[in-house]
Amino acid sequence: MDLRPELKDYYGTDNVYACYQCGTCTGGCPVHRYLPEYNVRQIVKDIIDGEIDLSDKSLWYCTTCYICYERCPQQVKPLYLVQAATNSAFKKGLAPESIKEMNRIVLKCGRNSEITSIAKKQRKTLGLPELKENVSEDYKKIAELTGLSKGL
Amino acid sequence: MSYAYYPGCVIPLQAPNYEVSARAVLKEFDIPIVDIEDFGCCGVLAAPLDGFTTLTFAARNIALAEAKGMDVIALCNGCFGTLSKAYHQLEEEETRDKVNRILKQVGLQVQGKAKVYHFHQILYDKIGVDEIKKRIKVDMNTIKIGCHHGCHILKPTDVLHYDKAAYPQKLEAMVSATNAQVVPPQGFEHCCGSLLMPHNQDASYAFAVKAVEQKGEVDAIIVNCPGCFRQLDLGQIMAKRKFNKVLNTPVIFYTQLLGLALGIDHKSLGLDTVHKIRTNTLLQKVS
Repeated sequence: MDLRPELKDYYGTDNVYACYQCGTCTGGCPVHRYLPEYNVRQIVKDIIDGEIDLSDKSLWYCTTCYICYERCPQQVKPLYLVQAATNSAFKKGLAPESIKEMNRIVLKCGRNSEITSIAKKQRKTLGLPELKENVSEDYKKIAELTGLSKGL
Repeated sequence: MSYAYYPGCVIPLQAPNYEVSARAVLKEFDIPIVDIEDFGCCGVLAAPLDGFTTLTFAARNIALAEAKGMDVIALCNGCFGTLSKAYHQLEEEETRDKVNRILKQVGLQVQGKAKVYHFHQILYDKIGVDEIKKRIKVDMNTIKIGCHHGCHILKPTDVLHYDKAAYPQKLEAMVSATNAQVVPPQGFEHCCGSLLMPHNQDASYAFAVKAVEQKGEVDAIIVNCPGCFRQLDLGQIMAKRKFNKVLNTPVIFYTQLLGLALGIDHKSLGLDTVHKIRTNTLLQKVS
């Protein structure tokens, strides 16, 4: 898959060709330490070569710690390249169900989860204000207009 | 001037201990806040799927604050990072117009005027370490603290401009202001592994365990973010089950430590609720 045409829109990641594959990104990556199949340097290379495999599950492992972004000597912003890849994977219907489900909940309640009875009780005990059950319909409307809903 | 209080979605439901202690501390320093009940998810959850939706969700929240003429105080690192990045992106006219075409459909417009602050910036930059020192009523010198900053209060540094990413010192200075002893970690490990949870639980908890272990022998670990809180607190319970490691260090928010130092009762700071690793030993040391 050739992602290159899309990169200009993605937070200035058209700098991708400045990458000389030094591997500082992967060297600092905490995910790589535990899950070596997640390799940022390789992902950047595959994007440059126009050969990124969007069905690769490990693309989704980034914790967004920004270490690669901070340390990259060429300001390639590897983290944003990974997000560009997962965004494209989502458009092709390749996003993990767990991530899609979280987003369905956000569209429904405007939060990452519904209000549980435990949370309600804890808030009351602590004297915190009551919460609206569903925050706003805006989330649903916005997601329809941006196209997010379609992929969910 | 009042600030728009931005709770995000995790804090109100999963870390009310942070919320209650932050409100108590703000009150103590006479910083007025306004609750905006339409504030919701900052948008970060959509980031892996669609960056533009994330930006628009964040812009919606910024627009709500702008409509009231207020700047935003975020408590959660994740919300702070997402809203700050959106603020930065909205500086570009073309992007702003694109977002506004969508926000118009929900009756909102964003100008990119409402500034976004992390709660800690208000404490460090606006109140200041000297003022904090003056207000301390209970000396915390008996306890040792390890600081866990989390990622999104620090990075990306070119957007957030808060503290040094590799060697942050502002939280440390605020902890020292309570006279607690700051124990430097054995290497800085900021990432709690929270976002890895949906994909690989074991690896996610391994991040948390490493972050706890790096803090060494301390009486409590300070976190700034509900995601880090859950990981480091629950992660220690899971450490026994998953890695047969016994860890038992209370994880608290800076607002809880500061609240204790200001003489606020521990129950009013939520120190006896939510925490999986109980805070008894810490509280005994303080009294």
